[in-house]
Amino acid sequence: MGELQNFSKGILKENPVFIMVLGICPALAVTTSLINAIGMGIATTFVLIFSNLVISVMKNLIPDKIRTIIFVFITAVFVTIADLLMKSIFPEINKALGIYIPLIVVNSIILSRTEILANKNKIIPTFFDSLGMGIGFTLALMIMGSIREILGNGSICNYVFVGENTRTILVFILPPGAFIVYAYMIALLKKSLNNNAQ
Amino acid sequence: MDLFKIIFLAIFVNNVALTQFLGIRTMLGESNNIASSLRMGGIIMFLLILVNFVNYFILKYFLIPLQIQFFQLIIFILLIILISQIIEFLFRKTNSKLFKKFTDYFSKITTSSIVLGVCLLTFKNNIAFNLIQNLIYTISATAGYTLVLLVMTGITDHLELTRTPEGMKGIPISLITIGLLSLAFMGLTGIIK
Repeated sequence: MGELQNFSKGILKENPVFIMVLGICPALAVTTSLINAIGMGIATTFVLIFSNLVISVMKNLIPDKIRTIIFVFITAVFVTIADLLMKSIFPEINKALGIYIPLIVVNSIILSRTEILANKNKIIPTFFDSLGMGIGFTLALMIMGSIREILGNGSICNYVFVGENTRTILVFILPPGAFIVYAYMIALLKKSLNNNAQ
Repeated sequence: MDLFKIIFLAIFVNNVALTQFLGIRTMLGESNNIASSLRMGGIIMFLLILVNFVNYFILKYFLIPLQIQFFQLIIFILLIILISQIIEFLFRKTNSKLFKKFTDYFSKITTSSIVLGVCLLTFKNNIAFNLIQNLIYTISATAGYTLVLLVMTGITDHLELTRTPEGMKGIPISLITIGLLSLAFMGLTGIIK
């Protein structure tokens, strides 16, 4: 029961992107298409799970004063691994994501999770919490990615469903669209959660 | 590329906050005053100049000759933390009054995406740049960030006085404001070819 709760809270109740507003930079930058969003979500989940597991195993060995540096170092190692793996398996997605794969290191989801969770908990709760957070992050990115791709490009997963001469709302795949879609998503979720609570 | 082009592109056309989405978190929600925004931009600029200066030599004489560029992320992030720790240490040792003003920012900045992001951007697109061009790019990119930070400071003050819908209060309305700013800056895209 405890594990299930740990796992499910990251998906809706404490969704890192829409509720806790962490990791804004990747959520805005890579959601120009659904494929990019999925790629970014998987990479972040990979780094989140493995760095948290390693930190959770090593937590007694790390001196308290320099723990931030060591946490960041461990995360950077896993981000480098993820970057190299993506480069060899999905070179196109890696090229589209550009600098946002290396920027996973300073993603505030990972920083806050290592500080709050992995630093204090055992391996199994850490694993389920990281997995839940990672899936919540991926789902949020997928929602934003599909909204922006459908409205801005008239396609989904590179499958174009509008006619050739149809005009789409181009602003949605440009930077301003990211801010506006994200703002409306946060506002909608906040309102629906408030209504449920009442 | 001449220097004017680099400066104009980095400040207006490819603004790091509005087109690359770096360091957005620090603009949202909380209202700053102009002095603290300037201080924040100044510290980021100072830190980044030092970091990129060292990075340039590490890349040129160590990573590229040995062909181990994939280590650059680890080296960048460790260098950022190291240099900011050294600066913080020096501040603490020398001037306690100045230190008190700046100490809050350091913890915010090291883990903000703006510093690492500008580092990566500097050495990703412009690997052919020489040292001067690199430093000019760094300075103008952070100047562009500071500009947006200042504009947002002014707008946030006015937003507090307006009547916004319940769900839009706080972060969402700030995000929409930044989106409109970004739309305005996009108008400058075609100016330089």
